[in-house]
This record gives sequence, structure tokens and C-alpha cells, in this order.
Amino acid sequence: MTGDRQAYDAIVIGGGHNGLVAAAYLGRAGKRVLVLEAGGIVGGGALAAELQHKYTLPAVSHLMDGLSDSVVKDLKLARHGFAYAASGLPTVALDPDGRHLVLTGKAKDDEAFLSARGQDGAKWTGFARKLENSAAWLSPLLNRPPLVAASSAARGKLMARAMFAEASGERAREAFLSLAAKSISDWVHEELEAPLLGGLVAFDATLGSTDAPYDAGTAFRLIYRHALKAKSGVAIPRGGMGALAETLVALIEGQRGEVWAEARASRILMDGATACGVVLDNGIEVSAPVVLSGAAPRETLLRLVGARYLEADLADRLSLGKAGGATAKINLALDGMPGFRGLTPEQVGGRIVIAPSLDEVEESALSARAGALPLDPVMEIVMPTCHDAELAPSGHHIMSILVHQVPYEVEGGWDARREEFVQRAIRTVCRYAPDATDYILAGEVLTPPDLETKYGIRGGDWHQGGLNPFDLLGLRPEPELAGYATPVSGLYLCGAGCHPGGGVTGLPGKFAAETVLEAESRGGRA
Amino acid sequence: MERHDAIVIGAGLNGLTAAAHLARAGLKVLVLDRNGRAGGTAAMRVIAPGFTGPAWSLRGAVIDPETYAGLGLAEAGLRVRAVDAGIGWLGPDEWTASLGSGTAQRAEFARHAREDGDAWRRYRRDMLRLADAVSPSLAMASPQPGEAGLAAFGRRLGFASELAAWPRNDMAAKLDIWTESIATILDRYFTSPLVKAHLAGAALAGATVGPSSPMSAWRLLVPFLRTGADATEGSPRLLLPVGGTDALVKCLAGIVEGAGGELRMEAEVTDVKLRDRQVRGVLLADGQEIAASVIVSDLDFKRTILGLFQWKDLPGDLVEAAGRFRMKGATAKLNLALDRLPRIAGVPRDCPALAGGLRLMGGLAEQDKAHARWHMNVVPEDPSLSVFLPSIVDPALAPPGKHVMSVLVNWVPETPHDGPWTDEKKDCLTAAVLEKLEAVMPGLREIVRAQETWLPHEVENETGLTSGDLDQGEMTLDQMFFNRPTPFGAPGGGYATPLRNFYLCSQSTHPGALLPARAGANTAAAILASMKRRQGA
Repeated sequence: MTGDRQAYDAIVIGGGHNGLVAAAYLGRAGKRVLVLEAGGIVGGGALAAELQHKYTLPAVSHLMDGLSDSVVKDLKLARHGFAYAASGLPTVALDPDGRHLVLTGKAKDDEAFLSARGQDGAKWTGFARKLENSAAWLSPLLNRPPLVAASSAARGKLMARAMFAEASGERAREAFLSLAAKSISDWVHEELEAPLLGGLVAFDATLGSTDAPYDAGTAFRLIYRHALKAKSGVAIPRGGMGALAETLVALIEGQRGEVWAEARASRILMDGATACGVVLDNGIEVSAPVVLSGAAPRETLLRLVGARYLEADLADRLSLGKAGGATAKINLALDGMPGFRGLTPEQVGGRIVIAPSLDEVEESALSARAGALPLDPVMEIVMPTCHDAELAPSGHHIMSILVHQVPYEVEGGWDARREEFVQRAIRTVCRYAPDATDYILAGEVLTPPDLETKYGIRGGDWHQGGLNPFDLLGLRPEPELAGYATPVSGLYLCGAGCHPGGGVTGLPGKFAAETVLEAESRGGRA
Repeated sequence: MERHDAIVIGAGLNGLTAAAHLARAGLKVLVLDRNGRAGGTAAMRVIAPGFTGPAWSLRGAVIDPETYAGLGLAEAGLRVRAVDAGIGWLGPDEWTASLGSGTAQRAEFARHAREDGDAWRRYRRDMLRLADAVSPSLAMASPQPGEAGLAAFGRRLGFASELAAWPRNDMAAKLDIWTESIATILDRYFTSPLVKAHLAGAALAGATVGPSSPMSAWRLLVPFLRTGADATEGSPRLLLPVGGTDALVKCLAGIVEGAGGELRMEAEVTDVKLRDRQVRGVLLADGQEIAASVIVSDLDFKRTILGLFQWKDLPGDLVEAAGRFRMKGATAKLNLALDRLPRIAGVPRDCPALAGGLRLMGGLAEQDKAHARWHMNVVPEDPSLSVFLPSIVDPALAPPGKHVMSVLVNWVPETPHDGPWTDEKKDCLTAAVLEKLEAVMPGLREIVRAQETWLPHEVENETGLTSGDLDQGEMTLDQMFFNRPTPFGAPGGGYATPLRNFYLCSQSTHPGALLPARAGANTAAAILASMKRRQGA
């Protein structure tokens, strides 16, 4: 990285998976692309961090369940070495009394398992079927660019078709429209009795947000999650969560592109009202006719561009966006496998959820809102070393914990409460795996503000802004920005703030790249 | 056997409004109610000799002129007063008011934050636009996405072309009002925490959501939906009948009776008689049977379906849908008879907005906290209060110089987390409410001549209203529009039901609590349209 100005066809700000996917698609189309990543390693929310250089830890997210099959295929990721160490992982809901639930996602097996334990077997099947029907209706809307058409007439037609077409699967649409505005609490109360199932469902519906289970729209979040599920189900990439980023970087570099680490964008270079490059915080300027940003829309437009280039109305709306997210991350390096009481080794390798009941998830949400640390935090635990021994020294393990409903601002300040928080989380783990503390060698904790400073994930909100059913109409993140293009000519958004939202899907990156290429083929720059 | 063209079960305002519209159209209508006093949830009650006020609701009847268009209420003797919409009080130096005059309203908000005066103008303009956009859908059965037929197709087409015609920004604003929280929308306009708390508090009386709850913002629209009260650029005024609900009931009953119909109180319907899923008549508690070709229920959806029929006679999914319909008790009610008008700390005695009521709900954070505690079924220690003094609007409701105070206690659990209500818990709640009132109105305790407290289950026992839910079904988007009372496509959606000639007209149907008594007017229109079609055929 020498010289003050270098010419690229496109610059991508942010080496998160969406930025990398966008770069790879552009590279595939013959563009010379530069990716700028502020951190030391690329991967954004999905990168691998190294603890003491011996453990490959998942940074924030620790599972993949929605990497778009189309992205995998288009970019030939498998041929470039991307593979799952394990896929189709079961979900294990831990029970304080040891009557854990293991769900595979296969309706018959799950019903049989639950019925054998007298835990809502048939009810769960009914619930899961409604969820699948709704998700099936929603899925096509998420797996294509948003319903933003050039003309208002075309937009109207698209909306009318999406909302009202007779042929689009009557039952599924019915199920979706009546569920979209519901709270997950109300839905659970209608259909389920087993506390563990209620807790699990409420956990899944609110993870990654500050929403409480009784908030309207949380049922939608669960449907959304299922609608984006990839064929591989819940999976762990071989080589750790960073493997996807590594594969993409190799791919981009093989396409004449470049990926710069420790290159923090300080602002977007403007030529009049047009974006023409990026200035790094070390003063280096790089220029390109097209700039894509994987950073959150607010960060991109207010910090990197500046409100004076925007309509006041849009700037206002962006600046008022709430800091979302209530997630913390704890990674532990262990020198042995803790004994989870009542779980087989295979089950320990699954997605383990500690959320014993709907009430406990609600209680956690309430404490988080009041700035209090939850007494019994609800969490998701993954042990990637069960599937990929190379991530840690022989016989050692990694325990990755996503703690949910953690306040962004905690009473007394995070500096004073960090240790207490970790102790509470570990105490909760020990309730199910009493010997876990014996194995802990080292660990790291990332509070919601840490996730923001370290990875730019505002308040731990990996959706970069709330999710609601109307986003599907192509209004995400703001109507002016919903088509990936922005009011700033030459500047595009490619992050999770855009349709179809967060999670490791690669879709915002893909659609953004396609938008850039299409604009070019129409002859304009944007 | 006694026979009528139509029987309306329940003399609530929706039932009476439906009855009046049907009677005007020439039907012989009989209205039956188990209670002694008509008005349903808006009914009035003698609190102490000479003191009358709204029994269960905060204000009793509020008038929406369009609902009564064509009925000639003024000719029937109804007098209506437009009053300013109330005061939000956080402290003696921290209160603000909704005023009907635009100049006064801007000055009032500017008193707390200079820019909020202008913000009011933009806020009001945007809210009126949004109200205009939604108003047409309140005057009819909501367009049902799954519904077939030419009329439905036309409605759907109209809806789609309207969506397409919206500029994109505008469309976002129109959708935001249905998806965002009250706090988010208010943050876009106002800077003063007091102004925000005031507007939020006004929107949240009796609500099961808090100001930060997603999809709560539409509540801000409600005052702008009522037409005819908005002459200046001020806050929409409240139109209140002089004499309260009783005065409106008297007029509506007069219209029914004038057309040969009848209103029969203390006549409880226990069963609706069916033959081949078609209504025949009703059975009263005293064993009497009355026949009618059309039957309309103003009871809430749950009580109607689960209480008036033999379940085996109904389609199974209708029973299931009624079982699922969410009704939640969320308010308690205190009624006080006062020896004089209390003085409110810091507020001038003649503040015109007081006629619309007083809100003691704290700031947005406190409102959120009160709402969260309700979710955990915790009895409030610092109750969130909406207060109204009906005797300011109509002095005749109390002896000369004396007053009636109606207090709605918001976010009160139907059943406390530690077990059912006891007298002790009830007394605690009452004491907490009185303590809060005393702090705002020093000396109040000395002027209370009589008082009564009603908990959600007591309202249910007294009136038959399931869970004492004044909205007759939680007003959340999954129970509004085409989802009210059941998701479209399911039986019973809208006013008609799978039972031939059996209709629903209570607040459990669209548009619910969005507009008072509009469901009743809409039901009558649906019945008359269906009769016309059949005559034409």
C-alpha cells in the first residue's frame, strides 16, 4: 500500500463477509477491487480471532445457518476450499433438571422425542409447521433483491403480487400475515406448554436485538430466521468461522483484487456530489468510481460521507436510529472437555441453548432494559472443537458463548462489572457442566460496547438496525437507500443494514454487487 | 312467540348504534341487555347519591360525528361539547397541555422547548395526512387479502394503486406509523421530554403496550381520526356528550323506540337458537324465547362465541379462534365523589385543557417501566393514572359545586404474579392511587366523600366483559384490521360470521378502539347491504 492515489474499479469499505462477498462478485465480473478492513483480520462479525495464537476462536457469530446456497454456488466457494466441518447440527435446550430437549429439525423425530418425554410433541409439530409455512412464503422475498422497482407503477404491481396474489400459497400467506405482527410470547402462549420450548423459541426470536419476547413483531423475527435457513442447516465451517472470510480473500486476490487489513476508512472522498474514493485515517487516499460500504448505513452516510451531502430529512432519520443489540460474547479456551450432565458427546457438539423458560427470557430482557446484569443470563453455547480438532491444541477445546439480553450500558459501568458478568455467565454454564471451571485456561469477553469498538457492530446488533415485516416491501434500511444505491452518486451500501438483513447470508453483498454491475451495464455510474 | 326483525344482544354503544341505524332503515329492532344501565363499557354509575360518572371507562362516551351521521342526534336532543384534550403532569413546574387553539398549542409546547412549537405544526400536519390515509378503511369491513369476489378485488386494486402512488418517503412514513414505537415517532419531532411524555401518556390510556413497544405508534393517530373536532391548528378536541354516556344512550334509544323498536334492560340472553347454522332467535335467562331473522351481538367476541352457543353447533375453528382471541385486563378503575374541585399543584384553576383530563404517568422511562411490570403481573406501587372529571363538562353530574373524579389506573395486572387479588392487595392499590393523587392535588383526601375501586375481574363479574378488557380484545396489529377478531380467511372475520344472519358488532371487531362505536355503524351497514343484495337477487 504505497503511493497516495491508486486507481481501482471499486472500493469496498469493511471486510465483513458481506463486503467480501460483494468484492468477490465484482471481481468475478472482471473488476479490480480493493477491500478496506479496519481491523487486523478480515471477517467482520464472522471472523476468527486468535487467543494466545493457539486457539482459533469465533469472534462474534459462531454458527452458520443461512449462508445463501446461491452465493456458495455462484462464487464456487467449495472449489476454493470452503467446507463445513459439521452441518445439520441439533439444537439442545438445556433443562435445569436434566431433562434436556434435543431437536433435529426433522418433524417426525422431534415429535417422537418430545412425546416420549411428555413435552408438547404434537403441539410442537403444529407450531413448527406454521413456522415453516410462513417461512416458506417469506423465503422467496428474502432471496431476491428487495421490491424496489424503478417506477411506482411497477412497485405497486410487485407489492400487490407479493401481498395478495391468489397463487402464492394461500395457507402460507395466511399464516404469515396473521403471525407477522404478533409477539413471540403471545404465539408461545397460544401453542406451546413446555417451558423449555417456550424459552428456546423466545430466545431464537429475540437473539441479536433488544426486543423483549412480548414485543410485537418478535414472531416475525423467528419466521425471518427460518426463511433464511440454508439447506445445510446449522453448520460450523472447517477451519473456524474465519474460514469463509479466508476463502473469500483468497478468491478476491486471485481476481486481481486487494484486501488491506488495518485500513480504517476515515471518510469517503467526494467530487462534488459524487463519491470518488476513500481517505484512510492514516491519510492515504484511494480512488475509484464506485465505493461500496459494508458499514452500517448510519455510520456510512453520517460519518464517512457527512450529513451535508444528504437531504436533511434522511440525515435526521439516520441519526435517530436506535442503538440496537444486547449481545455479549465470551470465548473460553479449555484444556479438556467439560462434562455436560445428561448430554452425549454428539449432543455437546450441537447448538446448546440455555433459556429454561419464556419467563426467564422476558426477565432477562427487562433487566437489560433497566441496565442491570441478568442474574441467570440466557445464552447459546457452541464448542466448535467437537467438530474441528485443529482449532485448538490436541485435547483442548473452545467454548464460544453468545450471551443474550445484556445491557449496552450497565449500572456502574462495564469496567467495574465485567468480571461479575463473566462469573455469572460461567456460573450458569456450571449449573449444567459443573466441572467447566476446572478446564478454563484463558478467556475473552466482549460486552455490547466492546463489539461496537472492536468490530463496528453497533451494540452487538448484527442486523445493523431493526427488522420488521414492512422491510420486505423494500424499505430497509430507509426508503431512499433500499436499493443498495444511495443518494450519493457512486456510493452503495452492501452490509447487513440492507435487505435482507443480518446473519451470515452473503445476500446483501451479492445484491449490492449485482446492483453496481447493472447500473454500469445501463451505461450510468449510478 | 314474540318476533322481531332484528335482535341486538347488548346495549353497549356499538349495539345501540347498530340498532339505531337498523331502526332508521325500517327494521323492527329489539335490544336486550342483562345489566340495569345501558352503555356497555362506557356505562355510567351512581357513585354516591347525586354523583354520577363513567363506571368502568375513563370518559364514557366520546363522539365521532361520522359514526352517527344520518341519525340526527342533535335533533334528538343531544348536546355535545368540544373540550381541549387534557394535561400531562410530571410536577408543579413540569406540566403541559393539549390545547385546541393552534397559537396557544404552539406557545405551550415552545414553553418547554423553543423548537417544539414549530414541531407541533409539522407533527399535526403529518398525523392528519396519515389519518386521512387510514380513514377510508375504518368505515367498512377491512379489505380481506384472501377474500374473493369483484368488490374485494376492486378494494384490493385500489389499495395497491394507492400504495404505488405514494412517494417512497411518504410511504415509509405511512408504514412507520404501524411498525415503530411511540417513542421513536415522537423523537422525530419533539425535543422536550415533557412534551413527549404528555403525548405518549395521552395515547397510552388503557393500553397493553408501553411507549417503547414496537408497533405502538399508531396510537398517536387516534385523536386525529375523529373528525369534526379540528377547526384550528391546535390539538384535536374531544367531543363529549353533555350528560355523559346516559345522554347518548337516551338519544339512541329514542331513535330505536321512535321507529317502533324496543330497549329491554335486565334481560339476559343465555342462548342463540340455531337451525342448520342459521339463527332463529334467542333464549332469555327467564326461559322466554324470542324469534328474529337477524341477530347481532355486541358482547365481546370470546363471550359471544363461547357463551351464547352450544359449541357442538359451531364450526370447530370458530370456537378455536374465539379461544385464541386475546383479551387482557390492563386497567383498574377508581371512582371518587368530591366535595369540591381539587386544586392541581402548579396548574391554574381555569386551564381549559383540564376539561379533557389529567395524566399522571411520569416520563417515557417510567411509562415503560410501568408497562414492563404489568407484563410481569406486578401490582403497581407507583400507579400510572389517567384522570377525568366529568362534572367539569356537565356540572349536573354532581350536586352544585361538587365533582366526580374518574381515575383509570393503567397497567394493572388481571391476576398478580403472587396469586389472585385479595382485599388486602386491592386496598394497597387504592391507597397507592390516593397517595399519588394527594401528591398532585394537595388536600384531596379531605374532600373525598365516597370512593370505589374496580379491578379487572370485578369489571368482568359486573358487566360480563371478558377479563375486564375495555378494548374488548387487545389492540395489537395481529388483532387489528383484517385480523380482527380473527385472521382473515378464518371463519368469523369481519362482521358477518359463518352462522347465517348472525353478526358481530362489538369493539372486538374492526376498527375496535380506533373509533368509538364505529364497529356498530359498520355492522349495520353490512347487514343492510346484505339484505339489499338478497332482495335484489
